[in-house]
Amino acid sequence: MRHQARGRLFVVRVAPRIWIRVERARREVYTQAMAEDTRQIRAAANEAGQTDGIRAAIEYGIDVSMLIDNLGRSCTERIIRHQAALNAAQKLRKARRL
Amino acid sequence: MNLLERLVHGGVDFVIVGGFAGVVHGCTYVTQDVDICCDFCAANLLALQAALCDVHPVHRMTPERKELELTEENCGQLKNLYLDTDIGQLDCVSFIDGVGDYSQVRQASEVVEVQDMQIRTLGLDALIKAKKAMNRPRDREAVVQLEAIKKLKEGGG
Repeated sequence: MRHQARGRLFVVRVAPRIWIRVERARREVYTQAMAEDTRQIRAAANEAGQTDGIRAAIEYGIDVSMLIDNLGRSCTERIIRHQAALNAAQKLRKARRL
Repeated sequence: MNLLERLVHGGVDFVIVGGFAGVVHGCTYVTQDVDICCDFCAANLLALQAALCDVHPVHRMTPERKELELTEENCGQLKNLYLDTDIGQLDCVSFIDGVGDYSQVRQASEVVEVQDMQIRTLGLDALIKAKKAMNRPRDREAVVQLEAIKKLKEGGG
């Protein structure tokens, strides 16, 4: 009986607190990683002395890391990925609400 | 075959412009149609019609979506063609704001290799000029992306 009560107490009170702490820690790590990513992009831009266009894009809300990834691809790869995104968008547009 | 493959294999003289040219340069947005600037001489337009003949091209801006029926006589009156086909929309223009007519667009273009085909695409600087001249909200976003791409390329990024 005592074991059962302790188990219930753990599930109801202790486990959610542990889960919240773990989730907070995970989010913190994610936020730091994302901030680091942006810092690295800005640093790379500063090093190149080419900040204006890149900074304007970041401030506009463009994901510059996606542009950098795209520049590492061939024209064919860019078009294939664009076509895949377009196909997905068209499928979603045709989808019916359930 | 997609629209570009058909045009290349059909011997159509054209340059990719507009949003799709941005995609070729590395922009991350998605565009619905393919925009090309082409020579509006009868021979080129008839080649374009032949390249699209089995995908049912229609004039999508006309209310009854008239079929594309070009002849040597009616080609001379055209400046733009806004087509819909079974495999996507194709906009053909003879002039690009901020760049000029087809000969100027061709001069400002660069050859890229796409799926083992050599295709002319409007160069980055000319595309930025064209997008600035159009100045719609989506053009403004494209300009921001294209200018960032230009800086990243200049910086070796």
